[in-house]
Parts: sequence; C-alpha cells; structure tokens
Amino acid sequence: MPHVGALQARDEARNVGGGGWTGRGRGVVVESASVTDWLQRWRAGDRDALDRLLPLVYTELRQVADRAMRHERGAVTLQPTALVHEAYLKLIDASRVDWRDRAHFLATAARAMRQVLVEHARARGALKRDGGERITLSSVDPPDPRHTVDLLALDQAMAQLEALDARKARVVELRVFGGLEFSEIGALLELSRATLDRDFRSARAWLYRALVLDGSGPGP
Amino acid sequence: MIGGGRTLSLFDALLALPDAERDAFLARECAGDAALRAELDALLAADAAAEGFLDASATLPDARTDERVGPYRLLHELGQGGMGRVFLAERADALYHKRVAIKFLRLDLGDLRARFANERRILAALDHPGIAKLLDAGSDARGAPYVVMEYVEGEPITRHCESARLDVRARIGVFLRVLDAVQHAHAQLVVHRDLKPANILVAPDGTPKLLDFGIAKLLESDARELTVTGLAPMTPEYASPEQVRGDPIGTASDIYALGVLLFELLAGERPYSIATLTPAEIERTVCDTEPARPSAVAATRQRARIDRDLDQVVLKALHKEPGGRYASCAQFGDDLRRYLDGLPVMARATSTAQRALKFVRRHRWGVAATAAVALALVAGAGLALAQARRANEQAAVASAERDRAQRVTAFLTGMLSAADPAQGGREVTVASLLDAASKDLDRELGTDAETAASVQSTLAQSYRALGLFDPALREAQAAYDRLAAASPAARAAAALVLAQVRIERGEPDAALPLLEHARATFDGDPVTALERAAADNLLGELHSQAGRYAEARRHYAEAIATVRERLPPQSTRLGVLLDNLGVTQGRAGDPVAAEALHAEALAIFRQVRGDRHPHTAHVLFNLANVREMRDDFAGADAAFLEAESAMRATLGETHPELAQTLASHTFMLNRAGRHADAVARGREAVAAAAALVPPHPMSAYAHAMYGESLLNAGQAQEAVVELQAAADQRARMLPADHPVRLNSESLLGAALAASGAREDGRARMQAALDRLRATLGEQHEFTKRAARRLERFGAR
Repeated sequence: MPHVGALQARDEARNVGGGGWTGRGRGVVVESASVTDWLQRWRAGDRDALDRLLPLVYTELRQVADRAMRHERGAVTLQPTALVHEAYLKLIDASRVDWRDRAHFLATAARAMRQVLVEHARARGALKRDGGERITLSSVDPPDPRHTVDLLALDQAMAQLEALDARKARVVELRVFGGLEFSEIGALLELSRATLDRDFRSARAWLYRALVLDGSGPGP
Repeated sequence: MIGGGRTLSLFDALLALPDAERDAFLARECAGDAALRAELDALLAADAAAEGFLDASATLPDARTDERVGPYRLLHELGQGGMGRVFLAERADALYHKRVAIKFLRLDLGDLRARFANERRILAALDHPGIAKLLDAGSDARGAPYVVMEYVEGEPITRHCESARLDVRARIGVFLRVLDAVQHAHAQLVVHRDLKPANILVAPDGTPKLLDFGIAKLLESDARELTVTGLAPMTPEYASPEQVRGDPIGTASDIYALGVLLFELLAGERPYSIATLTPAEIERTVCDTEPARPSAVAATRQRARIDRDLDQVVLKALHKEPGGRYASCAQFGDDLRRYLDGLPVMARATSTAQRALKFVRRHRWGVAATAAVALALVAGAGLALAQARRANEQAAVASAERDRAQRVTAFLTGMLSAADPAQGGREVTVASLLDAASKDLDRELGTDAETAASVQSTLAQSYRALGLFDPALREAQAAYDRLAAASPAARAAAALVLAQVRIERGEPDAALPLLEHARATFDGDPVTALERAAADNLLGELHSQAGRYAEARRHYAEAIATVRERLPPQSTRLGVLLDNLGVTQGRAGDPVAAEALHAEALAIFRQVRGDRHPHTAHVLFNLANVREMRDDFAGADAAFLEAESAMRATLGETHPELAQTLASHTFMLNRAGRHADAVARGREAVAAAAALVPPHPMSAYAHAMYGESLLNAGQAQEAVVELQAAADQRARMLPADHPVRLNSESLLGAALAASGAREDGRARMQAALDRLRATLGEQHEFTKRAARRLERFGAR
C-alpha cells in the first residue's frame, strides 16, 4: 500500500476548496428550480422524484470535481464536503428550502460524490502508473496531513466496513463525502446523538486502524 | 479483514463505558479469546490516535446557514479548519448591509463576550490596514462561542503569488507588507500564534490582510498565561518548535511561522513535509530536523532566483531556538530590504555549521575546467539520485529509495549541524566535520551498505571540494568497495566519484578503466543514459587533459547528444558539457570553436541561473580566456569584469574562483600592454587569495600574475617578493620539472636580475630554460617566453 501523506500535494495553490474565506463562496446561487422542486417532491413522498434528482446531482458534482482537478497535475488533495457545498449552492435555491431539504440533498450527494471521486481516481491511476497522480481527501483546509487520506484506499476500507456494519459506513459517508452536520445525520437515520457519536467514533477507529496502522501507514 | 461484526459491536459497547470499567469488560468478554482481546486493544489504540482523522471538525459545534446569530444572519459557510468554522453573514436588522465573517469556535471555549469586553482596548489598538478587525464576540443560542470579524475578500497569499505569477522580488514585496502588519500587532503585545496562508488573504489590488489576529489574545486573557495549550490553534506545518513542544510562546513563534511562509513563497513547498499522523513524529520533525535551504527544494525554474543570501534569511527565521531568529519583524524586514538593495544580509553572519554547510554545498556537476568543486550534500550523493530516477518505474522501489535518500540527508545534515562553532577557520572546521562523520559512519549506518556508500561518496565529494584528496580517495574507494555485491548501476555510480577523485589527484591511468567500465554498465540500460553522459563528461575531461582531443571531443559529443535528447534545451547539464567542450577546443588550439561553445553555454546559464550566479560567472571566465587567446582584449576585458562583479556579489571578496579570475585578467592586461591596470588588478587578485592557506594553487597563481605585472611595470623589488611567494608555494606543491613550477622559477630569476641580483637571476633563468627545453621542447609557449625573458633581463 502506498503512503498516505507522502504523495499529497503540498503546494497549497494546487488544492481545491478555498483556503480563505472566499474560496467556497464563489459559486453564485443559480436559479435552478427543478432540483429544488424534485427535492421537495421527494421529501413529500414522491419516490420517482429521486430518479429525476440523482442524475442532476451527479452531473453537477462531476462538473464541480472536473473543475477542481482540471488544472491539477500530480497529486491532488480534495475536500469533498467543499465540493458538495459548491454543488449545493449552484443547484438549490436557498430561499425556498429548509434544513431537511438541505440534508436530503447532501445525503443524496454524498453517495454520488464518493462515486465521482473514485471514478476520477481510477481514471488518473490508469493514465499514470507511477503513483504520482494520487488523489487524497482532507477534511480541513488547508489540508493537514494528519487528516488526509488516500481516496481509493478509503473507498475500499469503507466497502469492507459496509459488509460489517452498513450503518456505520453510511454515517461516515454522510459526514465525510456529504458534509452533513451530525444533527442532520441523526435526524435522517433516526439515531440518538449518543448512538450517532459512538457509531462515528467506532467507525473512525476501525478505519484509522485499516488505513493508517495497518499497511498504508505514513512513512517515518 | 480487520475485526468482525461482533468485534465492532463489542467495541461500541466498550466505548460507551467509562474508562474505569473497560478492563473488567474486556476480561469478561474476551475470556479465553486472545485474538478478540488483541483486536479490541488495537481498536482502542486506534481510537486514541484517531482524533480528527477523516473529520477534524467532529468536535466543532453544528451550525446552519440561514440562522440568526445576535444581530447577524448567516449566509453560507466560508470554510472550516481545526479551530472553527467560518460563515459569511450580514446584519439582519438591515441597518446597514455590511458583510462580516463569523467564526464559531469549539464548544468548550465558553462565552467570549466578557473576554471581548475586557480586551476591547487592546483589540482596538490592532487597527491597521493589514489586519482584519475583530468586531464582536459572544455565544449563540446553543452556547457555541463565536467571534465576528471584518469580512475579507481575497485569496491566500500563496495562491495569490502563483496566480499573479509574481517573481521573487514581488513576492518579497508582498511578504514585507505582511511583516509590517505583524510588527504593528507585536508592538501592541499581541501575538497571532497561527499565521499561515489561509490566514493571510491578498485582495485583488494586492493588499495582504491578516485574519484571526487577536483571537489567541482573547482566548488567553482569562488564564493570564503565555501558553494556552489545548486552546491555542496550531497548524503543525507552521508551528515553531516551542509551540509543538507546548513551551511558552512569544513573538518569536510568529517570526518562525513567517519564516515557513517565506520559505513556501520562494520554494513552492514548505520546509517540512509532515507526512505523519502522530504528534510525536511531528514534534521530532519540527524540533530536531534542520530544514533544507529553499533553493535546494525549489523547482529548477525558481531555484536560480533564490540565492544564498535569501536562503540564509529564511533559515535565520526558521532557527530552532527563538533567540537564534530575528529579534523582531522589523529586523526581519530590514534584512529583506537589504537583500532587495543588493547589500549583504545580516543572516550571513551565521553559525559555523551553517557556513560549513554552505561551503560544502557549492556544487558543480562538473564545470571541470578549473575551480574547486563540491557536491550538493543535501541533494544527496549521485547514487541516491540515480536510483531515485530509476525508481520512477517501480513505485515499490521508490519508497525504499526515498527512505534511503532521506537517511543520507538526515545523517549529513545532522553531522553538519552538530559542528562546533567555536572552532577556528572555516576550512579546518569543514574538514573536521567530515572526519567526524567518517568516523561515525559505521556506527550509525553500518547495517545498510548502500546508504553507507551514499554517505561515503558524498563525503568524498566534499573532501574533493576542500582539496583534501587523500581522504577523498579513501572515502570514494570505500564506497566503491562496499558496493561489491550491489547492483552494477549502483557500483558504477560510485565508480564515477572514485574516478573523478583519481583524475584530480593526477592519476588518470587509474581513473580510465573505472570510467570505461562504468560507462559500459550505464550503456546497457536506457534509464541510465544520463549517468552514461556523466561518465562521458569525465572521460572527456580525462582525455582532454592528456591531450587526446579527438577522443575527448567524441565523448563530449555523445554526452551532449544524450542530454539534448533527454533534458529540456535549457538544462545546466548541457551548459556544463558545452563549456567543457569549449575548454577542450581551446586547449586543442581552436579558440574560434571554443568561443562559440562558451557563448552557447553562457546563454543557457544566463537563462537558467541568472546573470549573477557563480556558474554563469565561471562560464564568463572561460569565455574571457578564449577571447584573450584570440587577442580580443576588449572582449576579454568586458567578460572578465562581468565575471568579477558577479563573483564578488555571490562568492564574496575572498574566494579562490575570484582570485583565479582576477589573476587571469591580470595576465590578459599584461599581454595587452596595460601594465598599470595589470598591477592594480594583480593586487586585487592577491587580496582575493588572502584567505587561502598556502600552499594553494590559486594563491600561487595570484602572486605570480601580480609579480609579473610588477616586473613589467618596472617595480622589480616588489616583483621579487611576489614571485618568491609564488615559487615557494609551487615548489611545495608540484614536482621538480613541472612546467608551471619552471615558469615560476624563470620569472623569479628575471625579477632578481632586474632588481640587481644579476648573476643569481641569470643562473635561475638559464636553469629553468634548460629544463623547459628538455621537457616541453623548443616550440612550447613557456619555453619561448623563458628564452625571451633570459634575453631581456639576463643581458650582461
């Protein structure tokens, strides 16, 4: 397994998601009623609405991710939550939705985001086999190596976790790829805050062990 | 796979228990199942270490957009970091629509309103155009503490410098404005503690603005302590050693963080890659590892623009001890302004260890014509580089090689930083450092033959640079022997170093088989084409020195073809090869071809290294000599003057390369009949050689050229003193019949004769002439000049 931290882009100028306070606010809120509409219809119980919603979210996320990586050569560190929020700002008319719509959107986007990033990582890996094209994720900006993890390794480990405890894997997915607040995750999955905290902490320890302590740990 | 479903649910239960009850739980649940117990212990250990992993903001309060906080309405999230999350907000009461940034801090920080009131006077004093104002503080309905700040639109300073494509001087200009703002805050006794690019935004008009100034003050004011460990925000990449250790923090910590920032602005990378997840690892890296120079880290394009003075300024700010850094931002800024004005910087007056490091690093790949040469220590030995390139093809090998390169670097930088600054002369200190490293080698690196060999090859290069050829040979030979069982390519790389030492010791016969074998080894693999070119470069020099010019030209031509094919057209390796081929053409009596080659090399070095780089100056020196050979004295004079000016600026007033250039210039002025100018230039040559410990080839050369110009100018008494010094030194360095030594004898004889000691002088001139005729023949330039001299000064 390759190193987690060693290959991440250390040049902040290459990183995505905005280091300053303006980075993420750039996206203008575009009037895009259809997504907002589908979202509200879905929440109201229209199951078909999700089928209409997903492709729109997926397409937007892919564009956001493409944009984020277009000018990047070598290793890239991404903040998926920043990308999801950027897509959210573009697709959703914030004045018309409440927090539940936001949570549903982000929950939908979390899974799509994970797929989009894994596709990107695989495509890059196929292009260059020397390992220099790694995509890593970070939860903070600027990326801190302690919070940075290789995307494909994380995806694999999460698949393993899913087999053991699907709910824990979903909590991590919502938090890391969707950027949902814990209160939103708790409401969505109908979990108490104590249970949710424990799920996240337990999953985090399991993933930390799989990704850092075993095999793919950082170099000295 | 780690842990089954049952393990995980047991772990959940374990997490729900208070610490005190965990042991009993583990003993009960794992009775008789050691594997399960080990699994759970491992997960507990992971849990302890995983704080912040995947989600640094897990400990931060939730916050939602479109919510009211005091008189403000949150618009959307701007960003988040380890310390808090930031939202863009505007006043909800519509009194005025000024936008602000609201930063929510960790829940355990409590209500900040009272503290903000207490500190209002100090925070108001932070009023400065380069500092974003703190407007308010408090806690929201859920108890989450927050601060309200002036909203700044801009991009992080690092990204701004890239996107605006600022050159080095412009980057320093922006950085100076940051220093001014920090200086203002320090004058109010406010320390930032978390300076980093994300906190320094540059507006579209180029004005930098610092965020978060005063927050640390706000947090500390209750405790009345210097340290607020745990509360204090800290970004490991920018944290000073004292900060990482949890020691008291002062203005010096901000200066350190600014040093990291300047490093990053210049080199494009930070001094340390903290590629580790444990705090202990971070502490070791920040506290114990000496940073590389920015110029050693920078991409080639940038490297040329970062000279040694600038390196020193950055390294001074990054000093491990607060007392070793600049005492204030004002002092830091003054030194940078001195740098911009082309004045020597204060940071140059540094410790002996750093001077030694600088000295040893003065690397030429092989501007072999003359000149002292050293290998870049930190760039690593040739071995490590050769292998690193090969490693590109195999990722698995790559990490092992990187690891080795890092260990070599760590060993050597450790050795240099351990130097005793109390020791005397620079040369002595470097030599003693190398001796100490050589002794430590087996103890520290004994188990790994390739790492030890890398270090020994590097030591050999460093000894070479000091002209200490015996230990250089010892280390180079040992490295070569150590690799008897290693890969042929690794052994061949060590052979190159050994051969270079042999050539410089005047043992070309011993070098030739090594080089030919190494060349054949590299020839077998397209990946090592550049190593083959390195072998060709040395073979070219070897044959050129022996007068086999056709052979030399063939090797240079092959190397040039390889380098042209493999490297960009502006590579310095190509420049070196063209320059060396030029020297050969000059020696072969074709100064026209030589001049064209030197001119081409010069264009490359000007482009890549800049006009005032020592390498550029060296090529200018070669160009000047060739012009002198062509009797183009005006052209030679101009090239000499430019070379001297660049060397004075970059190498200092006393340096062997400068002495050599001035001495050659003196020779040229003599030939041009400008005797008064020659005397003046010769005096400067001797002054530039003053720091050299005799006997030294450049010292002898300077005295000889000065003496000859004094003789030509009719100052025979003074000439005797200089020429005697030159002859004495050469008698101690060169064999009896060496042409340079004989030429020196002849000159001294002429001066003695001219000063009145006619018989003694005549006899010396006659003896030297006889030996020159016997060894070089009647037609050699030296023989002819000695004969003319005897005729002119020896007349009865």
